[in-house]
Amino acid sequence: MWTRKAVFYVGFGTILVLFAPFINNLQLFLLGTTVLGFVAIHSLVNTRPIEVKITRDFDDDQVFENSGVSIDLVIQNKGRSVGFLEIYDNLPSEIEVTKGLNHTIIRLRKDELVVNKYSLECRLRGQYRLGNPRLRIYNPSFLFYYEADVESKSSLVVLPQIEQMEGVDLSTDFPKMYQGAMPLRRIGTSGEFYGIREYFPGDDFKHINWRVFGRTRKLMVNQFEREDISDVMIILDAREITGTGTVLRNPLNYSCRAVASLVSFFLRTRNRVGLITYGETVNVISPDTGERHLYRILTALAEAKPAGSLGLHTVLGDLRNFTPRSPVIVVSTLETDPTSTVALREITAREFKLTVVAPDTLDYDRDSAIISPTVYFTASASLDNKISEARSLGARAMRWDPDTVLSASLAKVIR
Amino acid sequence: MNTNNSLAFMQAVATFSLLLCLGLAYVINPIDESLFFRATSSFVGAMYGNDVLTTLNNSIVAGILLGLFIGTMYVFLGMNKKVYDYTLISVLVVIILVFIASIRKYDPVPYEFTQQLFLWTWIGLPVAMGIVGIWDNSIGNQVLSAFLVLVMPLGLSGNTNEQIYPILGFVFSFMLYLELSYGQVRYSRLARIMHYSREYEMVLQWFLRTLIVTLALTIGLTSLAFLFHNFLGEILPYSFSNSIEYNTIYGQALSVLVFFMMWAIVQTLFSRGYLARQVED
Repeated sequence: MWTRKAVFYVGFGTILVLFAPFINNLQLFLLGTTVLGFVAIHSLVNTRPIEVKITRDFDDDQVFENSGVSIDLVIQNKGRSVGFLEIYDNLPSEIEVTKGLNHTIIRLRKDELVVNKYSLECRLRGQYRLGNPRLRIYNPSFLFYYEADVESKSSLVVLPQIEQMEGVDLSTDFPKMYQGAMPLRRIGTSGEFYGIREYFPGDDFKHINWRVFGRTRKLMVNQFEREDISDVMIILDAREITGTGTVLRNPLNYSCRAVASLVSFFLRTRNRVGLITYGETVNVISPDTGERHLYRILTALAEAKPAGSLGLHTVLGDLRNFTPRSPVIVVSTLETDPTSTVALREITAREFKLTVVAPDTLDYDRDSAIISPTVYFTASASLDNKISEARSLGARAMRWDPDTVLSASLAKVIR
Repeated sequence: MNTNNSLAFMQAVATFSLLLCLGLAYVINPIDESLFFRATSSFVGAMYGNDVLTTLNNSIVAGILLGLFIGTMYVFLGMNKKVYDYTLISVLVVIILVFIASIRKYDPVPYEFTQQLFLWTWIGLPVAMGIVGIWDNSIGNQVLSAFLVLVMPLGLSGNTNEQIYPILGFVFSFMLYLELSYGQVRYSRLARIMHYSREYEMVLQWFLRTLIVTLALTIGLTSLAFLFHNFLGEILPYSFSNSIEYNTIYGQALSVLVFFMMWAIVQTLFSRGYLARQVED
């Protein structure tokens, strides 16, 4: 491809060669000829085809939000020597380069191998494709260039950030006491010893620790670990409206973080967790346990995009087969969902232990002038009404300010 | 040599080339034949009733030095906005005062001095603009300066093969000025992006080496283009090769254009294969 400079040079040279004879000026004539000659010579410099292979090495292809990943871009020359090679590794706009550069200009000798290192910070969950790297060869005087994309794509999954939660009891009052029950490090009624405490009137005599009494002359009772396993179903609202706000700060992103934290917490405490996502379609991940299941859910959360306008009632069919009286946690703003009241009533009517977490970004949206004050007051009042409705149905419902710690906010409604 | 040194070297050589090509331009085209300076002389002569150009015919060096001074001062002043503003206002005030005084028939400075200064400023203008272009990374100034270097000394008397050595010197230094000043702007911009890395320095060294080699090859190709005129003369019919049109500079111009047209055709045929190979890659 010709650059503007080359076009200018050719035009300038031709004009000089044609104009100089009119004033019998050998100086301009010679200059025009030299300019044309210069372009002609440069059309042969660093413009021949090249053979460059580019590969990308990660230290990890699955990372959590706000964490970094190091990338080695390995550039291998398999053809002629290249004087000016510009390489630009295409990155999604959501990913930020924190160290080094994804853009490099190098001289590549024959069979030379160069590694360009840079680090990325992934600030937003998602499944990203890196590449293809773009090559640009310039001749030294910027007269000609050639651009090409080299086939080298890699995928990077950025999982939602997980908040470590402690002491949140959202599980059911009706634990499944059948096969597969796992002891939890909480006070309960299993055979596993948990600790001792002072005796209070009403405590079962059979739990009194007589050995301690013999030593200390104080009545102390044994406590045992609670042994239960709950099936927890989390429902995530991924409708189009949940994408309102900025790319980083919108209800869906916060919802995904909340769900990731809850899933991690429940799985860590040996529960079985499922996920239903609704928006454009309804996607169901059946309850299961284990680390593999955690990553399965986290990957689904990473892929969640705000789309569609299906209401909460669309998940009721999938809840039909869910373990009765188990906890159901709805993470949704419930905005502009006319079916939400009926759906919540239906869920509580089936005796599921319902918790509603509504990520509230309205204050931020108003302060950033994303929504007007009028819209803010209307939306805020509507959300309050929804929360009140849910509470009137016996659910634990809360507006969650994403700047606060989720477990602390949940602890308030659990009390 | 690190990247900064290489870029500074390019700037220094570009500045020297600019001075050289302007000096050679006036060697090739004497100032008293220059259309521009004839017009200036008429203007100044009409104002003061004194023929300046004939008395200042040998002031090219002074003009170039003045241009060098003005350009350098401008670059230095540009480093501090306040000093730049105050200096510019002061200079304008002085010029306006001198002008008003001369209208009121009072000359605080001898008019010969202001005339000389006026003329030298014009002579040095391409240098001043070029220096700003080179050292302040302004491509617009570089282009304007190159244009003035070509146009200002231009006269109607023309020049011949007798001046071939100054002409070759002019062409070489002019090309060097264009390439180094423009290259410096582009490469320094990229150097900032690349954080003046060692890998980038190798690219810069490659550019400098290639520039010298390609300039030498260009001179060879230009000679070939001129020889092509003789070659055409041998293969074309006698009546054509001995015509007046063919043996003047017009004929040479046509031969040169034919030569480069043939080059372009060969290049196009070659690049078709080149593109096809790229697609396969």
